[in-house]
Amino acid sequence: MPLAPLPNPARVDPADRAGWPVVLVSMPFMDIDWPSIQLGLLGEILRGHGFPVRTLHANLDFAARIGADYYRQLAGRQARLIAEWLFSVEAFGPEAPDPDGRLLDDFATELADLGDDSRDWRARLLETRRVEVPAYLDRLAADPVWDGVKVAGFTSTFQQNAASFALARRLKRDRPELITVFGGANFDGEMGPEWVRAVESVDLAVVGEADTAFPRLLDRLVAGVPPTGEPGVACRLDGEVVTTPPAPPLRQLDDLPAPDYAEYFERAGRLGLLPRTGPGAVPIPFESSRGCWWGEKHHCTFCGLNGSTMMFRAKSPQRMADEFVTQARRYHSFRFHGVDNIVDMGYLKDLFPVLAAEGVTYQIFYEVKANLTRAQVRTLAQAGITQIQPGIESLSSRVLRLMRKGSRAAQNINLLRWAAYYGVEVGWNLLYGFPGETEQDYAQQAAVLPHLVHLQPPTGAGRVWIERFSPLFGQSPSRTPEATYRYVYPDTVDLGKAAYFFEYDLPGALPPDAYTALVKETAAWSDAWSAARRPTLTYWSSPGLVQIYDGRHPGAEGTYTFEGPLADLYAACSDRPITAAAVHDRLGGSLTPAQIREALDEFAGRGLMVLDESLALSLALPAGPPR
Amino acid sequence: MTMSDTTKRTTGRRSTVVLLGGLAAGAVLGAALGVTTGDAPRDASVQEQFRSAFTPGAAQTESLPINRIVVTEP
Repeated sequence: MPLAPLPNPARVDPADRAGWPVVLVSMPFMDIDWPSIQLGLLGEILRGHGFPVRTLHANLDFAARIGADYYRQLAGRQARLIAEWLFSVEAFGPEAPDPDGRLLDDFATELADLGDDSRDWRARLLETRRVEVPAYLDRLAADPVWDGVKVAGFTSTFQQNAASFALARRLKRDRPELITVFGGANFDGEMGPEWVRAVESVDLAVVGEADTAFPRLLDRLVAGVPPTGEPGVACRLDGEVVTTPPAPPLRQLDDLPAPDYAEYFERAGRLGLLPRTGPGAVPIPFESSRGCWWGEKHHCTFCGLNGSTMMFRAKSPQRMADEFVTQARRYHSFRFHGVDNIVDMGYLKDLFPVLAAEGVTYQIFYEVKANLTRAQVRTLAQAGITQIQPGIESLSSRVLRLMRKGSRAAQNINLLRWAAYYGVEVGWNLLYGFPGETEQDYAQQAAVLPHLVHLQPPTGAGRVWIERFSPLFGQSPSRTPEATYRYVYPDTVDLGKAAYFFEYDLPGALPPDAYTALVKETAAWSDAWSAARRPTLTYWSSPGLVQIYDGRHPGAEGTYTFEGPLADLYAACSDRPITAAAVHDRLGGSLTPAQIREALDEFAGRGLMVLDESLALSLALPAGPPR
Repeated sequence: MTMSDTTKRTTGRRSTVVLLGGLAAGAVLGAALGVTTGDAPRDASVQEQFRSAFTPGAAQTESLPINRIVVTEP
């Protein structure tokens, strides 16, 4: 369906578009376990305009060549650009900065886990770079899919640039008339124009959202009108790069078509990359919103969303319900993966209760804000949201304020509690390294962690990355691109404009040993969670009586019994974090404020509660089936 | 018939407001109760109640399988 509200200077007969075949490509190292929503969505948009479009999940072919497990290892390595380095020589030829592989020596300690029992990790990486990559690109460039194609569109996020440039270089060599258009997160802001300037195989770039800009750009190409002046397009003109700012982002997401993933399933099936249980196990990417409603008000200091992409927009609940049904039928899958930055809280009233009431058995992933209530987590669980990624980031309220997260440590812990109770899996991390934090912030967090081992642990604890567009990026005095960029890209690329990740250089940083205890306790938490007998902290309650079974630490198990007001106090602090004054009101004055304070300290001292500044929260989970 | 077969039986009870621990549902249960009897004396300090609250020992907390609680009528 047309999505072009702006006046279009390229007056194109829709029939002419039929003569402009387009191939949309996703190169390594995009995930192989689900289709690309960028290809699926843009392909459908262009088809709606009348362009003959094919999508090409070329990342799958590379995974099939080098082995899916090895591919996943490389794709998951975002801290260093090893995946980009693999394609660097093929992307830049003699200009590639590290043909001999110095990277492998200079970062050996960080890369050594990429090996396996059968082969040395260096030998495997070098063979992949020198043998597998050229062979893969040769075969891909010679594929008949390119015959007669006028435009190759590359989508690039994270470590997809070098592979995309390498294929474009071969295509331009073999088919000089082919026009390459690049877009995606790696081309946002000033990155896109710099790649157009510095990389010869990039003809044009779409900067920002492509839903409207890309078909309008294609219309200009069809009509023979220069692309200069088209909103959201960067191009070369007389040796200079000309960039026109993007048009305002699309507001009515309901106007977008449902993504088409047929080519992914056909290709992945042919290459033997679908799960053994069949296509039903493949998560279907969906986009129910764009932007971040929290970031519009308070930009989290480490978040790399930029101004234009921050504006929050969501599909209507009815549209989303329909899209789930449509995509489940098309791809015989009940698993859905939301690419949203943050869930639309309106869905908790208008969409998720409908999914629960209809009895559908979806398994849905969403990113969520961390300060969800028990009732909201229950609503998510009942609707089939089985995995969430909340922005927890820290268990220190003080550090959370430094991040501008808008949540408290006790709320974060409470989310972990109710997610565990309702069976919702939580993916989260602990971040550190924020300007203004103190050693005490981390000593306090490390002291709390052993009491939380009955809840889902973080994936890990690590220093915050400095990402372009984030407030921390603006606070970085040197803004030095991450070190491995220089092993991938020629020095003709201005990495100050093109890089996304930057070296950590924030003033006033704590020494690394300030975080040692936190990292150690995080690892111990993961070990405890993975043990054959998972830690538990469970309470049974009746008016005036609470029993808490503490099975968190092997050899120290036991049962606490509390009666009267102490029991009621513990139950009162279970639903959500509350203040001592609120506890006093709810207990009807059966304990004095001093007794309440004393009791809270005693509970916290035994690790049965956490005290977070003015808030108290019971840590045990109610016994019995979730209700 | 077994005790687990409850689908054909109704209790016949009239709907009413049930007070648990002296309070209507929705209030903090038991908030109106005084300290009940137990190991700790009624006027024990908060610290004393905590000192006597813990009984060491590992327990099996998982629910019994459903087929273990089905009782056949004699």
